Order: sequence, then structure tokens, then C-alpha cells
Amino acid sequence: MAKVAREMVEKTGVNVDQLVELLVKNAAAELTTFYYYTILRVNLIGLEGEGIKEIAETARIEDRNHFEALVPRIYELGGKLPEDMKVFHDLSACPPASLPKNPSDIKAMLTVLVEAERCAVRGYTHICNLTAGKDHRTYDLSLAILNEEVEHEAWFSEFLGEGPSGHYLRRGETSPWVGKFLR
Amino acid sequence: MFGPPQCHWARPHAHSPMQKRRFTKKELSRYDGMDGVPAFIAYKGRVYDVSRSFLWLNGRHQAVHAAGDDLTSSLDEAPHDADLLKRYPVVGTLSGD
Repeated sequence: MAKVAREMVEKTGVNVDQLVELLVKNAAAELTTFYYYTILRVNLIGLEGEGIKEIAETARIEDRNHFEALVPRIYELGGKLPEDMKVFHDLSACPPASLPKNPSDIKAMLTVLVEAERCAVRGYTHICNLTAGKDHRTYDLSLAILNEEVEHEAWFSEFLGEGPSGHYLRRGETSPWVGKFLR
Repeated sequence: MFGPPQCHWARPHAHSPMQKRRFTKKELSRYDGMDGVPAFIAYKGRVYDVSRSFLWLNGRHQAVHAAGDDLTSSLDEAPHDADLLKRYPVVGTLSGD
């Protein structure tokens, strides 16, 4: 634990135990989403599915990166991951991104993907709101993750016909914002 | 490895979603979602049953909120709007007591 770092956050009035719980819940959401997206990705096949597979894969890898980036902050603040993976799964901040009953229904697949991203956008917005101007390190990390989650949402939303995402797919490496926390 | 999330449907004071009732704040507080008790929350005078929601497992939501509470003021600060509550059955109304 980073004792003084935690004290500094506590002095700002942030409930650190509550914040750590939120970080663990979001770490669980990231890792479980990585798992569920693996299943979604392998089922994105055929003329329509293949077109979405690439962005689903990018989102999947970046969600795993988010998990990796969150873990050090959890421990710095005195928290820890549950020992039981089943417990970890069930405390996720977002519901399971389960494979739709009909995986060839591309709209259903996209709906699962976009709902997962929207849950993440809400979650990190909440953490940013809690930590802005108070816990600079958690805020910086949450904002970096939020930037990527917003893009994921926009990609899937675009495929659902909700309007242009406004940007292009990743060129080169994944996690342009979160990458600095992984080096 | 992972089954579906466990939802607690044991209802020590069972009420059909169709049988709307009037809750006092004290009565509402008993529906805290713990130990098999249903998870109810109130918003703008309506009481919702969120027991089936993955996001309300064990009566807690996002580490900050607890079932059995009136969340009217909290929802204004939440990163989602009240439309999400439409997914859950209304089981009654909250009295001002």
C-alpha cells in the first residue's frame, strides 16, 4: 500500500474504501468483459460478422489492458482482488456481456457490445466525478480508460446505425490513452 | 465455470408485482436485498423491485447505494438517467412518513 498516497486522498474527503470497492468492481467488469468478448468475437462470422470482428477484438484487448492498469491502483490504495474468481465475477460493475441466443443476429450482438461499453462509460464517468480535483492519480487513470470506452461505444453505435463515430479505427498499437499506465 | 448470477427470490413478505402497496420509509428499509430478502428502491414516490438486476446483487449498487432506500436525490447525481428504472417492476408507492 502507498500509505501517504492513500492519506492524501482521504484528506480530500474521498471515501477511499468505497473508491477501492468501485475500482475492484470495474476491474472485474473489464476482465469479465474480456472473457465474454472472446466468445462474442469468435461468433462474429459471416459477411456481417466479419466486419465487426476487428473492432470487437480491439475493444476486447483494450478492456484487458484496463484491468491490468486498474490493479496497481487498487493495491496502492490498500485494496486487493478477491481470491475467488467466482466472487470477482459476481461483483462486476457491469452485467455479463453474454452471447445472444442467436449469434447470427448481428444487431443483437452489437446491442450486447454497445450496452457493455455504455455501462463502462457510466462507471468511469462516476469515478472521474468522485475523484476530480481530489485523487489525481485515480482520476488520470479513470479518464484514460473513459477515453477508450467512449470510443468503443462510438464504434459499435455506428454499426447500429446511430450515427457516425467521428473517428477512425485504431492504427497500430491498442490503448492510446491507457498505454502509459502499462509501460 | 461461471453460472448465471444468483438472484434471491425468497420473499419473506412476498408481494406480487401486481399487488401495489404503500410503503413507509421504515417498511422500505427492510427490503435491503440481503439474505434472500428482495431488493426494493424508491424513486420519486415509486417503489421498484430491482432484485433481478445483476447490478443490485446483495442489495448493493456500485459500492455506493443500498437497497431499501429512497434514491430520489442520489439519482440526480448518477451517471445514468431515471429511464433505466423502467426495466424494473413497480411494486408500490412510498409514503412521506
